[in-house]
Amino acid sequence: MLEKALQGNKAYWGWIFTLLVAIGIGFGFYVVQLQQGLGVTGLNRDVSWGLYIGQLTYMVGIAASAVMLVLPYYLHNYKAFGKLVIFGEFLAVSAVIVCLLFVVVDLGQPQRLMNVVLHPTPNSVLFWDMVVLNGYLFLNIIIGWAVLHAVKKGVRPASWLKILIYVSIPWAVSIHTVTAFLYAGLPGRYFWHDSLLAASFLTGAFAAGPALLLLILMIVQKVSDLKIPKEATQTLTKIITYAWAINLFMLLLKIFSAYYSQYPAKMATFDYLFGGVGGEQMMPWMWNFVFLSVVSLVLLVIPSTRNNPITMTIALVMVVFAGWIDKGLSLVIGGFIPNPFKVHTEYWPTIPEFFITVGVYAVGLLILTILYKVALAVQRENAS
Amino acid sequence: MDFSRRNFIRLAGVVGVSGAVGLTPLAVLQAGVQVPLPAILKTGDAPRYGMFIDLDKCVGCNACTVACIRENNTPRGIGYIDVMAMEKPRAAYLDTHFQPMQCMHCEDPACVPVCPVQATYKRADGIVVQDLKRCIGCKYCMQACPYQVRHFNKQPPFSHGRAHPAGGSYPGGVVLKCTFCQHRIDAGNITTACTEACPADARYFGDLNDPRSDVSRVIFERKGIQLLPEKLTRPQIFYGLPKTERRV
Repeated sequence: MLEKALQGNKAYWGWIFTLLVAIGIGFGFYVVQLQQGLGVTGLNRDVSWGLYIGQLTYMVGIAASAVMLVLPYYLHNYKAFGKLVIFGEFLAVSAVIVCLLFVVVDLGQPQRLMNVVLHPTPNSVLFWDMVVLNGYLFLNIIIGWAVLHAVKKGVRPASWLKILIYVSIPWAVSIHTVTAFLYAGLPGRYFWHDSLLAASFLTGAFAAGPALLLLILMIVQKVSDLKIPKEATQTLTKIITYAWAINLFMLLLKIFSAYYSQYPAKMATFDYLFGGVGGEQMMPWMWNFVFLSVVSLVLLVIPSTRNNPITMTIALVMVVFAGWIDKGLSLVIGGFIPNPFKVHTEYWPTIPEFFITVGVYAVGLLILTILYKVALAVQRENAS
Repeated sequence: MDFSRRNFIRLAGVVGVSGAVGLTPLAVLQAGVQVPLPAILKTGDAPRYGMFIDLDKCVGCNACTVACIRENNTPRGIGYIDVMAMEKPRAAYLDTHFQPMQCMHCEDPACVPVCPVQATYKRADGIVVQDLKRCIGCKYCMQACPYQVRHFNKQPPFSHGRAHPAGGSYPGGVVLKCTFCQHRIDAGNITTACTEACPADARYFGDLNDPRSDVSRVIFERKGIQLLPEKLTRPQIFYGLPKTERRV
């Protein structure tokens, strides 16, 4: 079926070429990083994880959010999602690949990656994160591909597939939970050491993920003959609204418990992020986050703006971007500042770091484009 | 109260005896006689290495920092010791003392269980070490450590850096940390470069399982404290608080 990705118009090839250029630039900077070491990044002793691991966290959420389509369709037989489920699963596939690439570019010794398999350590959350992410990747590749094959042949999917689909639903929750445990299990970092973390990760993901998927599908709708059913859009935006509201509610819970009890270590990070105490680099981003979150929530809660395509699109872009600031940027950086000895050391990504990140995202988009192209071609053949 | 003569004598006797009992250990200590101290630190019979740093004596000269870099020949930009200046504004002046920070070699290290490849582990003698040949450089141990004392070697992964004191060279892209001069201890020289170098004799290094060792005695006498005890890591470096910080 992959050969279907080789047929396209000029715009398609232009897009592929753009992505390849971005990948090439990113790879070039990665070679520089290999030659000169992680010194080319902005990482330092106090902030030893940065942009890369932030993107890992955000993209795990995007990958997990496929369950918001899979669950209604397969468990509740919700027909409106029928044609879209495959796009959710393929988004998950490319998002997980992006996650794994971000882990690799963050490693100091990438050639020793296989040590994780050679010396398995069940008491390390990072080991389990590797297990669940790879498991989720294979589940979604197998499910997506087999379903597509069945559509191509015009038959019902094999019954063994049902079992894998049922397994993939809790598995999606597990990938983001384990990623949250990566942070929440560390007593040294007050900002992360929070039992709410996994829950707020999931709600943030179930808002930003479907929002991103819907935006991508709107673009796909423009350039191909895909039709998003109106009912599917309405249901997805409702899911996004509820998840986003709960996510912001959880943020307020954290702020309440920090400030009402005047818990110094918990307040310190919020003071830094929103108040600029010890460095103002993150402050503009955080107030943008507040602005985007509040406006998007208002736009999503009011039914008339939620169902209006223009205001809905604006709200979705805002949710995706606010979710990115929340998880891709402030979560990781905020966890380190200030450090347990109240020292503020700021971090900002460098140019090589930025282009490597863009390159990794371009790899994900390339995989996504190819998978979507195949899925669309198969669906079109089936319809005709 | 009945202050009859008999009662007074009895009272005086009780006070006298208890005073004598209370003063005896002090007298013995002052006379330099070794008394077995309570084994507050003891966990077994095998040696378990630890350190005491007297913040009353530390002048913040960084001699330990330099001696450590020299001894371990650490890669550029990395020193295992960081002498922090702790400042407290008082009414008319700034109260400053210095606090050297390095790996605490915790009894329950937070860094060990998180390592996905078992590259960091605790030796039988209590030293937390890093297997530089196995570490993949994921930096997860650096997130787990509450003391900010692990260092990432930013040299390129395929390079071979300076010579390691235990043989071989420092690979790039791995996490490095204080080893309590592991190579010295393995060679039978039970002291660390930082302890030797300290001009103020603020550092004591030795076997915490031996109640007669200098380090055990001084931790007991100076009521050594551990940093961030609420993290339950049980550090093996004890600090003697400066006079201004001591609680009465």
